[in-house]
Amino acid sequence: MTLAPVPPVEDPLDPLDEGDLVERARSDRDAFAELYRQYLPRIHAFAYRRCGSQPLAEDVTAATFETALRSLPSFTPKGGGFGPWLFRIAANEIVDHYRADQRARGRKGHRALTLLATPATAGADGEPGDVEDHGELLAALDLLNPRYQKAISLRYLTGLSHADAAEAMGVTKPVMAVTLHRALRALRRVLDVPDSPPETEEVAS
Amino acid sequence: MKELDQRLRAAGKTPVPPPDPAFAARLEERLRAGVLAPEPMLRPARPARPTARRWSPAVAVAAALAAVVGGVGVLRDSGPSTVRVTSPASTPPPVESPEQLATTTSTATTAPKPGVTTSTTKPAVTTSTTKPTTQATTKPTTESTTKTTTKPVTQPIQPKPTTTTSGPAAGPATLRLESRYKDSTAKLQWSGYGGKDFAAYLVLRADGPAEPSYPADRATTVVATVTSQWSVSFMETISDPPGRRYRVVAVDSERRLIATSPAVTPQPFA
Repeated sequence: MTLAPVPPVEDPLDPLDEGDLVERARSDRDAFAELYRQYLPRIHAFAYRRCGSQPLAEDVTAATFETALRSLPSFTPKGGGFGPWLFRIAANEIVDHYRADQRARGRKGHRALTLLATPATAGADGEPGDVEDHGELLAALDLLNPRYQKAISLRYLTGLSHADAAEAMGVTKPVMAVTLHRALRALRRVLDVPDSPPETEEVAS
Repeated sequence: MKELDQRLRAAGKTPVPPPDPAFAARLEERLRAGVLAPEPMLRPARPARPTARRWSPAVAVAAALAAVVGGVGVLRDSGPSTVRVTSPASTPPPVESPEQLATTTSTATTAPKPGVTTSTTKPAVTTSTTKPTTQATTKPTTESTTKTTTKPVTQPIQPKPTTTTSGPAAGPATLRLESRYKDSTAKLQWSGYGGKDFAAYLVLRADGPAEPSYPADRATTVVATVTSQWSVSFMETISDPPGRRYRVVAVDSERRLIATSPAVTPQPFA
């Protein structure tokens, strides 16, 4: 079964409008509900891609918005605005969930469960291999340290730009690039994927 | 690396099912109502009960010495004025100046956050000592900087609890409260409550002309919860101490009022 991709949010908020809405949301629940409706599909999609199951995605989504509502009075908008901040909360909730899960089940049990809990969707072209690959990637991601997990998740699974992903991480763009490079290297080691041959060798062959 | 990058990008574009509409609606309702899951970082409120005192060896030795010296002093001196076992009319011991106490106590001088228990930490123990005989042995005029030095002739022994009722009385008992300040440090000292139903002292503060009340109203802040029955002092750093009013109440494990002091305004140290 092929599912339609997540539709883009209709009339995404203009950054200036979003800033105004965020200010109102500090004291107005209706304004916060508007932000919630705008970001729910993206946060849920991120959580689903990262966790691989609907119940977990819902837990993470609920925890994310509850934390956002609780912390909104102290939120200071920066370059990317509300979105990167919200994704940061979601990434933290996911890390916390996996920490707790690993503590409860042990590392091997957690990895086995992650491999089993592959998304019940096919890839865009219906290749079953994509499902297995996604599960393997998730399982490998879980074995990285939380900082690397967050870097990869925020960069690849949220749809955020590099700049916004860096802001969600709370670091500058150069630091984000370095962290991402190291995270990918660590992920590659976990996946036991051999290093790509140097370009010169490819040209020679 | 490129291959891994491509795999991750593909994972990021994996179609996912939309959020369940029922879940989305329930969550929105909860957010609008402000019904949030308990914040895991906050410690849940527990009924206050006396905690085991933690002694450092030095404090234990000092307390033992003070008890011996105090006992010897009591035996040597005669006269009713030197021994006050129970005295409902006794006044609380004079409040030491902050400087003197700074050498003998490590009580936090910053105002604790409302609702935060302070008495379980060492500072709360060191300020009040364990035995009443050693509590108020240092007056501002004495040279000693340790609480082990006593002058029973001039020093009233720390007034013992003003009541020995074992259960909630018909009305709350009365605590004596004295409050002094210097610069931005306010110091409170009160007579202890000796009933068996004790759970905690609550230090209450209100600003301006408002009187702190218990249960705390909007104008009242619970600045400290002291769970040690023999900890009868509190100190905080706060702006404009004379513009504040304090009250100390004793509560039982159900947070029922069992003793209360009048509301007082800190007076300047002489």
